[in-house]
Amino acid sequence: MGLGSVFLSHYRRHPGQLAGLLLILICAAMLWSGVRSLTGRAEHAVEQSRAALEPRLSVVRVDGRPVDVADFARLRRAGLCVSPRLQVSFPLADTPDVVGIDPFTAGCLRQYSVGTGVGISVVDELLAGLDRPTLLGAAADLARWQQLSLPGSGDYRLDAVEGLPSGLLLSDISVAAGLASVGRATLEILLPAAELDRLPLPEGYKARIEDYGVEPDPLVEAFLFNLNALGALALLVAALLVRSVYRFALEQRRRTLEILVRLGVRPARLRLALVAEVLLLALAGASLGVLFGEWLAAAMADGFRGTLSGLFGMDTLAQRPPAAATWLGVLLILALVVGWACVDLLLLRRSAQPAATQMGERRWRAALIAMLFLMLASLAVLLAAEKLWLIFLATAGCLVGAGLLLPALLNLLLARAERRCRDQLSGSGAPLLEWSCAEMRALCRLQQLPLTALAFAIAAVIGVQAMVAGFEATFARWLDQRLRGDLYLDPGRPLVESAADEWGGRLQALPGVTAVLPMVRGRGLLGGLPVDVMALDPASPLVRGWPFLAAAPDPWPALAARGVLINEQLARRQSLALGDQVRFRLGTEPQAREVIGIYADYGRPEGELIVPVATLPDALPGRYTTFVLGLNGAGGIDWQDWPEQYPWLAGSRLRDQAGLKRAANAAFARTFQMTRLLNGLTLALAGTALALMGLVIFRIRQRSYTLLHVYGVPRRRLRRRLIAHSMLITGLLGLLATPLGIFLGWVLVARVNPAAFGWALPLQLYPGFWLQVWLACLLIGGFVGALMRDPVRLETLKNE
Amino acid sequence: MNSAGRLLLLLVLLLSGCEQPADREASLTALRESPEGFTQAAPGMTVSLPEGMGAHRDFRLEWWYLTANLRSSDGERFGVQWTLFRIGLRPGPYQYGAQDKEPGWRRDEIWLAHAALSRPGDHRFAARSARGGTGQAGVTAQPFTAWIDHWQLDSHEEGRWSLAVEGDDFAYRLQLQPRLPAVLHGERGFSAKSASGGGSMYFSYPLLAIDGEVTVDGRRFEVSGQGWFDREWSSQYLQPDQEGWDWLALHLDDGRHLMLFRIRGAEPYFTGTLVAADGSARSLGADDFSLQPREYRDSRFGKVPVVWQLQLPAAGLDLDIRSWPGDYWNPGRLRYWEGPVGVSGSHAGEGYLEMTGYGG
Repeated sequence: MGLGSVFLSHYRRHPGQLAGLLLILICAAMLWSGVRSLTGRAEHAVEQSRAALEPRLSVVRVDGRPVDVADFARLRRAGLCVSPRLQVSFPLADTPDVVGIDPFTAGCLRQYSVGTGVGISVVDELLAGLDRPTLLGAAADLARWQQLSLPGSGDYRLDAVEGLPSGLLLSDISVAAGLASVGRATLEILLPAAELDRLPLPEGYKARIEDYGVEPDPLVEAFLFNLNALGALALLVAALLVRSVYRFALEQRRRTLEILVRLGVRPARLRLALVAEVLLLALAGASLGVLFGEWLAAAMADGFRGTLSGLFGMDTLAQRPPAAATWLGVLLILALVVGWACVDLLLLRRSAQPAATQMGERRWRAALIAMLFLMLASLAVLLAAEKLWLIFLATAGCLVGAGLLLPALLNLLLARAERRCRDQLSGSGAPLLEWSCAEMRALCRLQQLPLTALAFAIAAVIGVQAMVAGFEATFARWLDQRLRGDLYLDPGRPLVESAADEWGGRLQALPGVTAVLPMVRGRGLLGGLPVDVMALDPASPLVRGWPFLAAAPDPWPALAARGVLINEQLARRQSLALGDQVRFRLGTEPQAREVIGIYADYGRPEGELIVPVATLPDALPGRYTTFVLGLNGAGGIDWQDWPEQYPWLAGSRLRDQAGLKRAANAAFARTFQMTRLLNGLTLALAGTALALMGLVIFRIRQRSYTLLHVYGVPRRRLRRRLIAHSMLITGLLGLLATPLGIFLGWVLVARVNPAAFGWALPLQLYPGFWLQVWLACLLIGGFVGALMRDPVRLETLKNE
Repeated sequence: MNSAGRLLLLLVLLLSGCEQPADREASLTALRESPEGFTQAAPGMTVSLPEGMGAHRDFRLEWWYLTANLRSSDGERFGVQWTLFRIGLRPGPYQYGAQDKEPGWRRDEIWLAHAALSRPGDHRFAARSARGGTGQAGVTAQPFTAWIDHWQLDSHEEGRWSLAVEGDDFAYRLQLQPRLPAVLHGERGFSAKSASGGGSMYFSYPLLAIDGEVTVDGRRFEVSGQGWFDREWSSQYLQPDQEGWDWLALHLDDGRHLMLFRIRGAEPYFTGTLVAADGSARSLGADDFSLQPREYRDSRFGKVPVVWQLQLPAAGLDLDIRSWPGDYWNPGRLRYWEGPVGVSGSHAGEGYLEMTGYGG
């Protein structure tokens, strides 16, 4: 009989062990590759979004006249990397805008020089289509365009391209120029902000910020980091499980292996065979896992796409086959995990058992102390660290320490209970109770690793839920208060100050409008750093009831008189507090005002300050005015028809605040939906592994149950007792892991968020949810116990 | 893909009527096909100056082409190439009624410029592209100016020209003085490219005295030397069976100048022009000279002939023409070799070698 068949015979005798091992490997690979695949897709989408969010300037003429082709040529000939953008909007509602770009100079803007993910960029598409007018856009917009058949819109080739924002069609600028007579055309000459560091603008031109170019890096990095950390947590859980199952299996095979050595099989060959087995197992697990992981990622990608589009207004998640790198990565990781699991056996240690126990006891104590030390050190680092990766690392340290301490703690609790039973209780049930405690302690010892894994899973579920629910509640409340009023109006174009005033008057005169709040946005400089500026009318009824994190008494009158409001991000970054004097520059005008309020500003990495609209200079970079309208009974007013009824409103966008809230909420809700899903999967994986282990371990413990049966305890009672043991252990673990979960939640809201986003969330506790988790733990325990149908098997006593 | 590569891709796509990204064979097709509506260069057509320096919108493809061999005061050698291409998307002249003279966003023609700076073992390249009609790029014949963005070749009073070019890692500002009058190649300016007809309108300024400054990686060099300037326009350069060409422009130490090319195909086609020191020119045919590759070099895009032997017995020339060490490919889909050469043998000299259609 060859060595191979000896190896195989073990799994033939214990097919459940092989299946369990494979199942855990597959689940681990699936989780890991699914997460990898998602983050890979996301990174690609983020790269594009980042390109779209490059800070861009628009060049305007000092004399106020609109720029034209000649200006473009003049700027190019001055050596500036500018590119034109001609946007044509049409009077008919719902008609997609046509945006004409110049593919020859579009490379100046990162937005167009990054590919759409299918290998060829829109610029290449436009170049290839120069011989025939071509419109590129999302399929839905192209279909809409075809339906409309605008007069004079001619015969176009329509090419569906993924990754373009909805509501606009991209074309060569000559095509857009041909359509200009049918709609309203606006020409902009754009250049990347960095270009002006190289060359000044020629006389007669000035630049204004066309796009703030929010740098989404910290937000996105934290998001992807979270996801990757969760994937790593899943892998850690899986590693613990695989180690426990495989070591358990090897323990059973130790005798077989020793016999093989005695029969003359060289240990080196045996080790080689074990390594081959490990690799084979890893290969099988990785292959299937990666495949399932792709399915998982594909199923979750929709949610993810929504999340990203919520964050960036982009819609790009290309389907990609699993990368060989992912596959190899998983294989390597699994081989390491399995290799770790069998490292003891590879060394083929043969030590005298009693000494080992004694040593083990001492070593165990040392390990506990080491764990405690690790936890404390990690906690200290966690409290002091500002860097995101350090925070994650310290959290991992705390988790590992606590995770390994938890089963020991459980054991300690049960030992105390056992002693109590022995010392204080009397009556017929007492010995059985004592036995139960001893039995559960034995189970804890045997199941230590899967229990640790379960503890991690429980903590992750509770922690992430605390963050998600806290975020949602806070965000919704904040949004609710901030988006006062009934309608939000974006004029669709920048308004100069006089035009904004005129608009305000006209809006006030619209039927049903009770209040108009102009909100002017722009850019300013604070301590040399660019900040967003928002200007409001402090006297407007629509700003009443704004929540502040900290504010002087009567902040709104104070704002009008002497103050400035700043967001939490700015306060943290510049270490500003109430009463501090800040100096900032709006356009060319330096100002100094007192901080009279700090407000929460979730979801945005930029610093912002709010000033009264009266103090705003005319020439504010990036000046853009929007309006919030209060309505007199919004139900009866057909505000949707306004842009068609009133020509001056054409091109503007009206949105009801409820819709805006819904959209904002949906964007953030989706972000965390997936995190929850991953959590659920981790919990399920831990539960499954526990069940698998439970089956084997309870079989070992069958002898003690059978003995009790022989001594007269009825079979049904023993069965109930077994289920109770199992439920009690998982239930207790759930209880003990809850503080760990709260700790994890605290880390996410109070440490990770400020480091990544610049704002902190209040930590909220959700005992209702804990109850659900405990119930789930009890169910897992019950399920593991119930799997073991009958704990009494008389043949286990045969050898007595 | 850089913008030049993209443009050449476009050129290929447009001119070969192909929808998919074309291969190199298709790139050459661009030079071979003659689309409808464009005027074709033919025997009997002549070149008139100074109009010839301007654009010819009824032709599909044309170029303004400068190559120069320069030397710094401490003896360091430089090669400079600057080329402006115009590619017609549809035959001109372009009519826009009342707005005829107004700049606009049009789709009639494309301008494309290549700039290169070569040193032994070092070749730097930059490209720019623009649509016609906006004023971003163009050419005027009187006074002669050719420009794209801030790259500009200008003529001044007293017949002097100036060239300013700025790439990412190199730049040059040169003053150029044509020392000899323009030379019309072939038959009064019609330069045949095959025995069966077809060719281009072609004339050159064979000697430009040049001085100015070259900047490489921030280091400035005062330079001087001599250059060759080509003007050529056509709608079909090559016949369907022709693969590409090897072109040479040489300045000999005895004051003579030479333009020679070999067009490779089923039947190789040889032609050239010998310019005497006084500016008088003589057209050369296949019977007058032999031009043979002697050595090849493994380059980025395959083997290319870098050492040539030229024998022109009637003029007493037996020349060994040797490329500078290095790789002088200008990248892009329709890539070509454009590099300086040294001349030895019966006469010493210097010049430029251009090769197209190599490196499958």
